[in-house]
Amino acid sequence: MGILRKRRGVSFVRRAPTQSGQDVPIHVAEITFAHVTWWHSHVQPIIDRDPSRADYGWNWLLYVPFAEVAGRVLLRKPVGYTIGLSDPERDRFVPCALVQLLGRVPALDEHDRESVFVWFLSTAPDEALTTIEDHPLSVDRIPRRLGTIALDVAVTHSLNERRYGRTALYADERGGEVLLQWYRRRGMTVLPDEDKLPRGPRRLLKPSDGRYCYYTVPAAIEASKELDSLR
Amino acid sequence: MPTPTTAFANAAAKYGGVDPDDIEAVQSWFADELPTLSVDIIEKVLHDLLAQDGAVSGREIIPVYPERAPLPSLGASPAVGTPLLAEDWRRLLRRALARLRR
Repeated sequence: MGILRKRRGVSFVRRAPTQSGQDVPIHVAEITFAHVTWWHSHVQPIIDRDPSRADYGWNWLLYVPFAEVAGRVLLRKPVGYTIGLSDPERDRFVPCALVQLLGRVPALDEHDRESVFVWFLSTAPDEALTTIEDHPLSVDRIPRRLGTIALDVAVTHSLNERRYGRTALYADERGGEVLLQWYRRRGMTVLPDEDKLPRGPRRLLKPSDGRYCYYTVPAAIEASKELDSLR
Repeated sequence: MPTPTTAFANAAAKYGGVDPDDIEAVQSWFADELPTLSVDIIEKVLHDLLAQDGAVSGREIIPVYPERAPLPSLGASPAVGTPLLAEDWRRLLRRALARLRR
């Protein structure tokens, strides 16, 4: 099945588990300015109350316009996705997680191969979803495993864009060892700090320090399979 | 992850002469001015931002949050398409196996 996944791609997650045990329908949309404007208005202020969060102080109103411009004219192929709850009755889409990717960078383990790089990834705190004006979610409707689903979106993009699941990221220092362990539990490998990064400005300015993580092709496929019940 | 907001502000100051402490001016520069600049400049901005990826900023920029932005509509947030064959690969496989069995 790994061969099919690599060759044919895979669909994005369409359901998320909840505390109640019933799945809720979600979908993955291309990130838009409306998504990030709502996020910066309603979700980011709640995130910014907690300086220990890795996404403290982020500003998606900067990332998305820049990625759009850079995506059009450069070769890094940036792309952003919003994972949200769909409410067809009221024509509403509730963003629950945002992911900004660079679609084409050298892989950390095989420098002559191409990989996806997770530049920004953020999930909404529960409080942000239960306090939406005119559209609050009950606690048992809040999608769970949002971090895992958001990471899966990156892997799915990698599989569908013929990067074969290769996906890398830098684990923010603020997350400490706990964040590194979380990525390890998702099947990622931590690049040893003595290993060199692929050629580029990052090798000089932000060399390997034991916080770069990556999926090998087999590990990405295994991680992808784990969420098949939600696709 | 990630590139600190100050790196974006510094890039706007360096290439656009924008006050790096005025976050709304920085946002405007990225949304409105940057797309009009040459590919070379955009490439330099990207390099500057990636070089700061994971960096810890020594200063903070006071955020400005838009007030009461509306929830996005579902109609304007369509699900991303799935590669044609990925959608149906299980069914295709079942069909192929059924044919082989015949």
